[in-house]
Amino acid sequence: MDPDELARLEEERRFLLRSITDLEREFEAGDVDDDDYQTLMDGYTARAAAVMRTIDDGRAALPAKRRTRPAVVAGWVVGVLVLAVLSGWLVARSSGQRVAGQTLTGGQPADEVAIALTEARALLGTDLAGAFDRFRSVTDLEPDNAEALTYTAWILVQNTRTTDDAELIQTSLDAALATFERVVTDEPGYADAHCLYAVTAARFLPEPDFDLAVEQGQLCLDNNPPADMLGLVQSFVEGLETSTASTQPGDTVAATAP
Amino acid sequence: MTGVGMFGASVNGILGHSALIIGLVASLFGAIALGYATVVGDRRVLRTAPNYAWLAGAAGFIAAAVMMNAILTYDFDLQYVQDIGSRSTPLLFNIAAMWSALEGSILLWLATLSGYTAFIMWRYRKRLDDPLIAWALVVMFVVTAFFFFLAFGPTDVFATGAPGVNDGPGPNPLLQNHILVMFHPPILYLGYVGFTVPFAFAIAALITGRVGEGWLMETRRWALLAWGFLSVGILLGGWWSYEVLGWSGVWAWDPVENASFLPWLTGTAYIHSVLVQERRGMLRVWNISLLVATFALTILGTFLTRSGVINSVHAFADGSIGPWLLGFFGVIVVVSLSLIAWRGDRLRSPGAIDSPISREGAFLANNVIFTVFAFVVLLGTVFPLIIEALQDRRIAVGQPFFDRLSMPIGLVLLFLMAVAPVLPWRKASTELLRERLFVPACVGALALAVAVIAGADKWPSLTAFGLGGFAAGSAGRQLVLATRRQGWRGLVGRANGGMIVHLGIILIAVALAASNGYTRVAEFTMKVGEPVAFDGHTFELLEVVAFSTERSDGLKAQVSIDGGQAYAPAITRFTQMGTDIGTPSVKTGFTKDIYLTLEKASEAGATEAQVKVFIKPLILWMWIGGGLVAIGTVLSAFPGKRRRKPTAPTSAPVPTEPEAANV
Repeated sequence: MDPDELARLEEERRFLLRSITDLEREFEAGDVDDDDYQTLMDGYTARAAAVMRTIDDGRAALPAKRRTRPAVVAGWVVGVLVLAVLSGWLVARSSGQRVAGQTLTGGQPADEVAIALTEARALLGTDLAGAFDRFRSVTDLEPDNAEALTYTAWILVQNTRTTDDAELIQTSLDAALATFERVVTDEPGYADAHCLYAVTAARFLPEPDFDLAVEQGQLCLDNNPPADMLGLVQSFVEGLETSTASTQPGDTVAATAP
Repeated sequence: MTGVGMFGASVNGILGHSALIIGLVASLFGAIALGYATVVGDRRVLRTAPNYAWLAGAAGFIAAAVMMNAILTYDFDLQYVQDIGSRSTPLLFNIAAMWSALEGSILLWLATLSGYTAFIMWRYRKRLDDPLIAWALVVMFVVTAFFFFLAFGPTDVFATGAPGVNDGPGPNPLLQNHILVMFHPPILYLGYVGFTVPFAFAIAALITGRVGEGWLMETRRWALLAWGFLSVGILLGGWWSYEVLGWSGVWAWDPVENASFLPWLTGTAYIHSVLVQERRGMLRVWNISLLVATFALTILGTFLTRSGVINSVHAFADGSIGPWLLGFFGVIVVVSLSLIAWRGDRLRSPGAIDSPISREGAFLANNVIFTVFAFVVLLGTVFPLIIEALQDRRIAVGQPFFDRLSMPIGLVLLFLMAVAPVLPWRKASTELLRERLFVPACVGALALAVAVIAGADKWPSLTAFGLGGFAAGSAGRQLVLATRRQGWRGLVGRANGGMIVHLGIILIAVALAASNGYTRVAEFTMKVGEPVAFDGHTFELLEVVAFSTERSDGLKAQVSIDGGQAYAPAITRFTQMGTDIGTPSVKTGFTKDIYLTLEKASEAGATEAQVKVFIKPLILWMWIGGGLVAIGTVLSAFPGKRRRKPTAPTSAPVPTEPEAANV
């Protein structure tokens, strides 16, 4: 039976039962005489009984709960599990620290850059390779990103301390110097690039270039370097200007640069 | 000018508060009167019910009108006007300021909802003794009462502000930059709120036990209407993003976008799956569940966007309505699931799917795919909230998650869009499939060939182009057959109007695939008199000029494209907020848009400026597709020539083959 027809019959049953109650109330109040009461009551009762029987038949005729084959159930369970695991893994893999002003999800390419930069900064002190990968992902999105280029170069410079391969050291330094040069040319107002370029020139080149280091160190100071680096850079530049290479002026900055 | 009355409070505030309290009382009385009259059969009380709907409708409208009046007359006695009003904001954006923040958007929601309730009451005023109609209106009254309460209590829309304020900052500068802010939110809300109607009928069907096909017939057009508004509203949001935000994209999986997309996904599944119930009496639990999910997701979306839990251009912080919305969401889910469980025996289907290669099999697959899509988007959207709640870590889910999962899902949906319309009910033979899919497959192959010749080389985009052609061929075939038989009337009716909607969606999908896969970007420091070349075009900076208005000043770079007309990307500084807003300038074409943004310019008269150039293929077709979706939805709402009468039995008879092909 169609559920709508069943509901209509149930509505009719409610109406008939309510009519019987009303009839009894009217009869008790003396509004209906005995004959009318009996006639009406018989009519209502018969109609209600018929409707109830039809309802019972209708309910019995409702589609029975079908047994679902175990294989189908297993298929659905496996499907849901695969979906849950896959999407859970992907969502965890695609999430990262949220920076100030960033949206909860998605975002414009600039937001992706902000995420990668934040992650890279966090990794600089502990995982240079990881930081390098993050900065490279930034340059994939924004090839001219000054911060990513600068710190990619800086990581290359730092890595020269972990190898004895002279050729690799030279290649890394060449690449880093070229990158520093590019950044200080394109973004002359970016202090970090000048600072790290200066330190590299004074401390990491096989033949230190102190003139370049002084020039870049001064440019760094002129461009409002980060507050935590200011004092270090100042003493670094003063050291370069007043002493010789024996004072190893870049040590402090090199050790504390982010 | 302020609106302080004799009681020392804003006249607008008094009027607004009065309207809200009248609306709240009217909605509550309406729900109680209708419920009581239906349960005890009291026709006298039943006859009073429409008055409550008129009263609630008028109250919702008046509350919104009073707020609009307060904004336009600069009634800075109201806190909301202090927050978003400004004497220097142009009229157009002052009107749009109404829904630019939490309080106004709740009022817009309320006005829309109470309007729907009044209209449904008017539409069914002669059938109130039908329990299905009565209970549906009870549900609508309850939802309306909740939003009146929300506006009156937790949100306190008409709160009085600090004394002595004579001007405000105006709306968010991003909302003062394009005419689409006038249309995108109201149309989106018409869709969002519109799903209350079919939801109310679904709950009424569960309460009355009339879970057959009758309630579907009552709500068919309402669901289509809501879906159409939601679709167009979402697309207008994408258009606004493209024209205003300056990153040349239309969709960023921003949580607010996701909040509107989620009910669209389940709503889309519903308007397809409902056909199976009408024709075969199957998928009853699915359909009711999809409607419940759609409505619940609109409330969840409202929670996400209005409670301050997210951070985006749309999100309104400092809201105090979050717990109420979350609680309401919980009530909806619990009540609906309880009712479904209670009526479980009647929701069983009388039949089963005979073959997966059938119209109903395709619709079921369509349901599953849309549900998976909704799950993926929901998971990505709430994952950061869950992590923050459990681990106190602030994380973000990046766009790659959504892109990676939505791409294969979208391709499968395109495939289903191609195959489902040609499938007959019950079972398809190989010969029939071969015959009906031949032309669509040829169109798909042609589309693929054209894409390859045009230089497309990435497999996801190529697959999208091929499947798009396949699906367009399928929809076109259906429309050609229908118009051959019935002339222009072949474009009318659910099946044929639906094919026009399909064509619109296909255009949008193809445009998205093209623009996502083949956008080219370059940034130049352009110098006056020195053209630069990029992607076959030349760009020449003509001059950098300043402009100034009462509320802002800025710079624009006049850039000539290919030696022709000059386009003027700009950076505007809104002086009161100190915010710089970029305004892109777009040369629109049928094959590609050239989208310019001004990244940096020093001063008026400068001889150089930094300009970013985006070459965006096929973007225009996205907006054309949106237009087709709107037209198709309207055509779907009218009955076609061969539509079965709504009173005809629905479950038992299976249409004969020629008829089935037309459905």
